[in-house]
Amino acid sequence: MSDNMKNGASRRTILRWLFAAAFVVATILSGLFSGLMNKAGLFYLAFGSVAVALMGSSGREIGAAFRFAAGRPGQVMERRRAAHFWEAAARNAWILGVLGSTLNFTIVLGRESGGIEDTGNRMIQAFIVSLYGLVLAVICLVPALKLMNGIAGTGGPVPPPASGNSEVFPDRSAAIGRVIGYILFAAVLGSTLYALTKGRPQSGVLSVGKVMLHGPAILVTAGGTIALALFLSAGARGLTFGFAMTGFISLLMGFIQALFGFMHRSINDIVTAIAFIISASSFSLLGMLVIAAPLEDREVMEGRRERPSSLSRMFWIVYPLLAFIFLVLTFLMVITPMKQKVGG
Amino acid sequence: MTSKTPNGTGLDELLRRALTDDLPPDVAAGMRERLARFRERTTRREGRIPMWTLLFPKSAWAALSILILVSGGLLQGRGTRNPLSDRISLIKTRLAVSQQLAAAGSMSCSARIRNGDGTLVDYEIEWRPGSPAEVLVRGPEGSLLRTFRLGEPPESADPMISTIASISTPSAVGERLSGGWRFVRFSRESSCDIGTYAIPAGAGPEVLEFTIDLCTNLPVRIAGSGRLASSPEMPSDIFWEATLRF
Repeated sequence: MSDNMKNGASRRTILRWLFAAAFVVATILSGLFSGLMNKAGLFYLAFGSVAVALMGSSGREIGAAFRFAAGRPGQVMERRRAAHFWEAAARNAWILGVLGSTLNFTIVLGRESGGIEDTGNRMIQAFIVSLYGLVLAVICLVPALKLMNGIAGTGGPVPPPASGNSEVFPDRSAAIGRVIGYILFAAVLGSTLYALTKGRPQSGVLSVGKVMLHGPAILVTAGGTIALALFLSAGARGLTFGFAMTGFISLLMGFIQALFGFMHRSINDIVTAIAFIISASSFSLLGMLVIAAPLEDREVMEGRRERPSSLSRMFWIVYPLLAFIFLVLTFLMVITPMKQKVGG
Repeated sequence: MTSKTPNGTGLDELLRRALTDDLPPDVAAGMRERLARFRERTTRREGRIPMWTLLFPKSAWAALSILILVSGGLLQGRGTRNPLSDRISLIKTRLAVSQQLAAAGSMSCSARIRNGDGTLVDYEIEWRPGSPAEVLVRGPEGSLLRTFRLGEPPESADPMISTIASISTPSAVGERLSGGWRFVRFSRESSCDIGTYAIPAGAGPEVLEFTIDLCTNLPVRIAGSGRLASSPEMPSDIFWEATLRF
């Protein structure tokens, strides 16, 4: 391919992205979807995605992924790593979106409000962050799929991971990048919580922390994940499996407890079950996002594995979806009033 | 090639014999360097001991994790509450109360007021749909001083009556209940849960305590004390209470 042809392809790709960005900006400015605007959610998702990307990939790998997405040619292994970066970015956006909804939901429930209508509106607003996450995931999947198709189109067997290549082994700059990623994520989370709670009487980040820290949910998520990861001895994949399965079991456990609460007309059972569902889904999603997924990303980027396991990929898609469904069920359980017992 | 694959040395030897003449020296040197680097890193990774196993052996971690898991399950099974549970309870209760209030058959309110001479007078107002509210005025020992219906002449003789009536009508109580609530405490009585919430009594710092039976979602008591009206003529120590019946 000549230099002119390469430059032309890059220019066309950049033009396509610019056109798409202009379309998105115009849609936002038109006000057609003003009801779907959640500034804190947008901030959290955009900067949270950057932070989580830094946890799993080095700055050099991120730069290369952007260059390949812009149509730059390269070796199969490099293109494969770039495709994995975009797939991981899509996964991060999806998990971040659902986690954002869960955290927003917790904040709405945990703070003072003017009335029941206001609380209901804010609970519905919390779901918008998941929508943002899904849209961003779809955007990130486009370059991932294009790069995958490009690799498949080259024909012949794909070479095994280049384990001997010095570029794919961890270096000091990657470790610094990861630390920056974790610090940035903590800052994004803290500032989002502050933005959502500021100006509310008898509220604030500390009281939100108290609301979020539901002891039993933390114990079950941590204990279950560590136990499963130890018994599996599968490294990062074991952690992904542990967080997802513990989270799913916790969701079901809480849901069944809530159903019993409705049957026995016990508000105490219902509210503790709802708190358990919300907290367990938050902690399992958080663990999956900031512990398990970056470790799996490092395994791929460093050439220790060719690709993430199919089971992990399934959990990354299905578990946040389940958490979202249970969040909707939780919303319904909160707004469903208990009926008086017949003759009671 | 690594410590785990001693049989690979035969393959190395075979490759060396087959390719030694064909490889240019710089390529061979590059390959040797890469192989050495790979071997070094792989050996380092194989010999690496996870940090967490330095503290306790793997079996201890497994036992600890199971213990944590079981304790979490037991705590949840016992119905351990946290501020989030209390807030959810508050929202569910508000929803239930607003529904129940609309279906209330009657409501009685009582107010205890200390007069200027220091004596306590109890006012009881019985609200019933479709008929004027009945007012009972009791003395310090509970003796019935007088009884009348709201809107009838004795009301005008006692300015306190109209003030108490205005803050204790079913619509006034409903309006108070629609304001912001704050959780005060949660108590369990026999098999049923009794929750107490605080709601603003007005523009001032005073609050009304609102007690509800969480088994039936019926309000048990609404009580408040302090200056409930803005009028400066009102005494400062009113104890006001409403009981709803369904």
